[in-house]
Amino acid sequence: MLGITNIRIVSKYETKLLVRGWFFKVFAVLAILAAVILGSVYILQPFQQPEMVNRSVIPYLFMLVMNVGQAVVSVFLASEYLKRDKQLDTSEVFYTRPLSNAEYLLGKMWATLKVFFMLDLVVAAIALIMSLVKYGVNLDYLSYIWYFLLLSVPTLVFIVGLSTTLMLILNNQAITMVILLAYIGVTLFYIDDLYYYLFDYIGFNLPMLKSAVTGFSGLSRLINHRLCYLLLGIGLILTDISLFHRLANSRYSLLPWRITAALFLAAGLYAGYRHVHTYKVDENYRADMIELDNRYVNQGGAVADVCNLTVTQQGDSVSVTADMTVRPREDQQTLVFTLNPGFRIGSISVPGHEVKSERLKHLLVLTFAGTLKADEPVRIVMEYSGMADERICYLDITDEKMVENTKVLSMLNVPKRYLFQSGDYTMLTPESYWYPRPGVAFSNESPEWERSYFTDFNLIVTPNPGLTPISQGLCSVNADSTQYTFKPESSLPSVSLLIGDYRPKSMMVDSTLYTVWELGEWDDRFAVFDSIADTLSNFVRSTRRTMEFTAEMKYPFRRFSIVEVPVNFTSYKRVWTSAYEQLQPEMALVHERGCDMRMFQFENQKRMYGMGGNRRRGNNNMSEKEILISVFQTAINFMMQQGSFSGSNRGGQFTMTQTDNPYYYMPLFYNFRYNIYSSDWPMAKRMVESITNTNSNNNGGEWLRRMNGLSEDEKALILMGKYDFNRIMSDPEWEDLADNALALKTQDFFAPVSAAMGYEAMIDSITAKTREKEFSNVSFDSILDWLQTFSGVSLKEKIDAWDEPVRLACYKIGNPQMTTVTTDTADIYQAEIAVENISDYPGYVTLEYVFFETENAGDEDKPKKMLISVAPHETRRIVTHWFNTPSRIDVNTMLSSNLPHLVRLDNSNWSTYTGTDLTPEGVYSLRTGVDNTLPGEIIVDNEDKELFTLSRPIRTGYLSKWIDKSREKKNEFTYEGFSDWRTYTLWTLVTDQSMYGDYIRSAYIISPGDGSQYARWSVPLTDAGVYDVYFYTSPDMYDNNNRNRRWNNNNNNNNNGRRVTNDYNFEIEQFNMQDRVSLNMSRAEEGWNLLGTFRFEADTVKVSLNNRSGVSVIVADAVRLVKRVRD
Amino acid sequence: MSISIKGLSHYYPNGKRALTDINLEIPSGMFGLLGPNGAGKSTLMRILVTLMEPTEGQIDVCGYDIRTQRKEVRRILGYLPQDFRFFAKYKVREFLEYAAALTGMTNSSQRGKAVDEMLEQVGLYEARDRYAQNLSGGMKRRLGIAQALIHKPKVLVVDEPTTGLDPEERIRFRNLLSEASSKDTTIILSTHIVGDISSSCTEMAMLNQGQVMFRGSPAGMLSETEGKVWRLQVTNEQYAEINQKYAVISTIPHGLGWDLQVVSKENPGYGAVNYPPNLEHAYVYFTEIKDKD
Repeated sequence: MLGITNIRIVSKYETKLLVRGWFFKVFAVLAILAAVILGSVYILQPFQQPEMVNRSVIPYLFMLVMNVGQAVVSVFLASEYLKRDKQLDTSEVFYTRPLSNAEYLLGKMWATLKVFFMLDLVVAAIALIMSLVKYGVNLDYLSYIWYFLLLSVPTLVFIVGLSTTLMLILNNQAITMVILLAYIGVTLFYIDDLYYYLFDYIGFNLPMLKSAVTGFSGLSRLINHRLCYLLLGIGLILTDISLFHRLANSRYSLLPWRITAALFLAAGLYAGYRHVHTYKVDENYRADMIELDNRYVNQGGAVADVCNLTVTQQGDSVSVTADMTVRPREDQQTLVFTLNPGFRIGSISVPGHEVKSERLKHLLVLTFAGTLKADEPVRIVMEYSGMADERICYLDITDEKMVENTKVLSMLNVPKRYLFQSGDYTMLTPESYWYPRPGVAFSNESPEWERSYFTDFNLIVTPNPGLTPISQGLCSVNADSTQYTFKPESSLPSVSLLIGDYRPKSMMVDSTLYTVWELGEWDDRFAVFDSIADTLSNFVRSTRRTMEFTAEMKYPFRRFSIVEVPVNFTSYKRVWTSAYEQLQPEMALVHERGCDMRMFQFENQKRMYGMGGNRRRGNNNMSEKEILISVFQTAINFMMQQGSFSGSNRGGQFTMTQTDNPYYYMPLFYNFRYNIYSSDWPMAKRMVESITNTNSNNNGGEWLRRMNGLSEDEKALILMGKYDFNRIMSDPEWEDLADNALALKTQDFFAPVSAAMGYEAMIDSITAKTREKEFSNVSFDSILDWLQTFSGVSLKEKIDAWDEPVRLACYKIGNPQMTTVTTDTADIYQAEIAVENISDYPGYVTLEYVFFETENAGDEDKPKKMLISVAPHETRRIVTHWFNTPSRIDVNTMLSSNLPHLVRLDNSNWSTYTGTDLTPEGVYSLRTGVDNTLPGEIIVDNEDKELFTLSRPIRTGYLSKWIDKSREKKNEFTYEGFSDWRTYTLWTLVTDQSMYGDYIRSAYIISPGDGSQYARWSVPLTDAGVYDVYFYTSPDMYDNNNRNRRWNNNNNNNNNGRRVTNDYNFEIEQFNMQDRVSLNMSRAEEGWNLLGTFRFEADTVKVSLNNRSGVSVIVADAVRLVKRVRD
Repeated sequence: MSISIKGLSHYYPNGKRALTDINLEIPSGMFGLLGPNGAGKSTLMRILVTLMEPTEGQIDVCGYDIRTQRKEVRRILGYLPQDFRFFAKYKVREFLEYAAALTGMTNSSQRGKAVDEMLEQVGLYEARDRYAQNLSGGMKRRLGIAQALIHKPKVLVVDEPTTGLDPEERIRFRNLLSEASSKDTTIILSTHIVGDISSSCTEMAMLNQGQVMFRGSPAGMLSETEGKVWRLQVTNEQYAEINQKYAVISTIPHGLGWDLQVVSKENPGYGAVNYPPNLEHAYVYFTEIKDKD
């Protein structure tokens, strides 16, 4: 029988041992120190923390940090503990005491757990005390217990159980520690969300941030996950009783423990299975829904003209009556609707029609007795009720992506939620399909599902007592404030419904009602601006004007609301639209307390502006009013920024990615206002959005391209050259590139019109036509007809060719020539550039003439961007006249294999002449191709697979070989990014317009070394003679330090302390005769640099560049041999 | 009989035989277990204190079967292992309290009292707040006997307790054991130091190479050695010859030669005369001579 007393005794004295050990003492001090530092940074420090930290964030943050530390330390402690047991004679005298193995071992285990639990509580107490000091008593005390139970307890029990079990089996502390530390390392840095976080026993990546509004998300799943490790941990500890090296008190006394251990382990494994199973069930359910969608995607299409919704909240549930008028798109017998599968349909009536209904998960299929005529209105009334099912949301997003975690404060994992429904808080956006919508939700087989239409919505909401509903349209309330009616002034693409303890704070500016809806539990944060209320309207007005000016459109609604929603609310970028779910018509949904948006943390912003402002002004105090104005301006600008950049490093490959701002205002002005539809072609809307919204595919500029190796457009082009276009559009692996691919193909689609009428005129025409009618559906065919009217070009046949494989052209681009011609009135600058299509496919290039801001082209109305069609093997010469020299010409090769895809030809490298005659402006066809080479010269570039070779990498370790191999596999796009701080141990292929190349301007780079690595150009000579040998380089482009060294041409020491120079070291070889030459990179010029003059026979000359140099990086690009006419 | 051992054999996993067919009846009082290093004493001790399970045989401790009633055996057992030097980080009093608590002394005040009395008894009361690992060798050994005696066991097993102790501590320790043995306790004193047995045990057994070579009283052991100890005076050359043939246990220089004591069944010659045996002689006789028969 288990003696609790004995366990307590063992635990009491073993605890003393643990606490007295240096290891624990050091950890305890570090943990407390870490807690104080964390507290100072996140609680006491005035800036950077969201105001919701005083709720659940702080206990989560503290326990998470603590948990990682103690997971590591407990491994040391638990294994050390048993090791010591083996070594000490004193242990043996305890083994001869009458206590059982179970009592002894459980006592020891409990002692280990107890000291860590005590330390956790100390750390939690520090957090709590600091929070109390900072925020007062309004804290979420329960969170402290929740996170302790969810994070610390299972982690510790599991790791202590595992480490002791391993120690008992392996009987070797060193091996046990290596295995366990590797396991922890893998858990923290690699496993991440593998198998739905199943292996994340520490809970480091497991999303468990508690919303202050809606509490924990998926608590049962969370508890199950943690229970898995708790049960496994207990099972392992119980297993240890049997493994313990001491004779049991009696022969059969271990049997019950073995059985119990097996039961706990089985229960733990079952919990793990259940964890995965619940995800799998959801995924299967989603897959079933997609399958249904695929089955019905081409059936029962309709347009909903009217949708009157009457919503009554009944506890957690809602009951809805939807009274709709729909029009079938064609003569058909069925109508298909999508409605959230969680809602149970009570009744359906279709006045005047005999109809049979079938509910298939989220689909409602109405089969009519007779055929419905196209566009003939049908009224459908249906009642449904229940709890919305989240699984319908984002069927287009991959399961993997949905499981990926999102973080706030860099490390706190936020559970993703797409809808909320409870008696206290409800949030149903269109993505939840909370009202019936014609058609299916998603299809991965046909784009038919993408059609959307404007509908006249009316909404009557009876919320639970004390709650306030928010939706689109003018809101009126009945006398006893129990029923709210929403009447939008115009048709909308969708409506959303939020019900909660919302408190409004409104202001009317120029007939538009601006409202901030805060959840009642909070203090009124916007009260901070009460003192400047009189002036706020001016800033709202000016911000709106800025948006309207940039968008070239008026804000279309009569109200705008910022609505506070739970922190878990998540949305995804969609391929077909730039709109995120955070933006709804008339409203932006902002996370509670703006926890991930600094501009909404007003108190912090206030302090920051106060201090920053004073610093900037040399300690002249900013007035309170000035500070508040700054804070307010920053807050209301949250929709102005289109996106931001962030870097990530995976497997040594640094990648910069652009993250969209989901609140970017454009959808409010455009997407919710205009709608393009085509009865035949569902892609139409996406294409028009793509061609008119030039910002949506921002490639992030040259620096981003250099960091990532290729621009997003270039990656999309490489994919388009390899794979079927529809695959690129539907494969989740390339979802980030799909919009680039679409944009490129769309540009190509419209290119004939653009070539005929001018790019800017074409965009203006499309925009004008699109915006002809707001809040109604505009036919794509009418846009094409409209364009044909102006350009004379019909694009309709191109629609048929849309599915044909993409053929990429490739172009040689000549060096521009600038001829200055002085006329009677002014100097005219004649720019000439030649573009040769060296492929078998036709294509288009755009040329954009860019001028310095202070200068102009001389004629403001003259288009500076032109699109030129180039037939296969045709060379086009483009001549333009300007009153000033363009600073550069940007050549966009559109659907091409060129790398870089966009070449910026800076005027510093142009050939310049002075002339007397002007060639008339125009686009000419040349008989000869673009030839940038001189007579008698032979060039070998790094892209030449036969004549250019690289040394084999010197790799000795299996691990590094494996890493290299895995990197090779991963790199679909061949070309890698470059950054100054990275070391290139292997020759790495990069592209840049400063490099030499026919249509791919690329080079190999490597970090300096001992000279054992080399690049070799083998130049075949047919004539003997004297040759000048040149090397192509862009010395500053890839060597930041070189720029500095140019100013003081000094030398460096390499790692071995030997003096090395900034030279590139070459070996020029023919018939085993070698010459060594060097090129001082501090003095090298951009372009071809002479290495020397040599006499060669008619045979191959090998030019080798080794990696011994003092420069930051060695670039192997191209070699040129020019035969001298006279020796 | 307090402890009855029948047909006890033990083999290590590598096949090495540690004990062979041991049959012993151990009565109350101080029982000496003598034998050279590697004779199997410690193995026997560890089996007796339930740290090891014997391969064969039966052991009955005060009526409890050591295989099936370990808990009961452990309840009446006190054990002081060999080399009791390495301690966990406890203070003297804590260590003893822990040991006491594990024997079932759950009442803390009673336990405290017993601990203090025991500390007084072993002369460690003044050192009660010192860390055990900082005690001297003798004090550690006394702390060891204190933990073994704290619950007044019926059987006390002490394995090589006096090894490494100075004479004063050794005498002190023997006295402690003698005191304990007078209280109806069976004390099994395992040692290879003959003096420990002669000064404190009335009954003894001698183990060599895993077998019982002698069972009886120290006096009986002496009587069996009677007539097998010889004294003789030899030259250097003769000494080398005798040393090859016989067990020489004492060598004292004498003029130009040596005064030797030799254990041998027959007269080694060279004018050897019988010499009265002591336990050391008996020990050599049983370990080196008798088993060669």
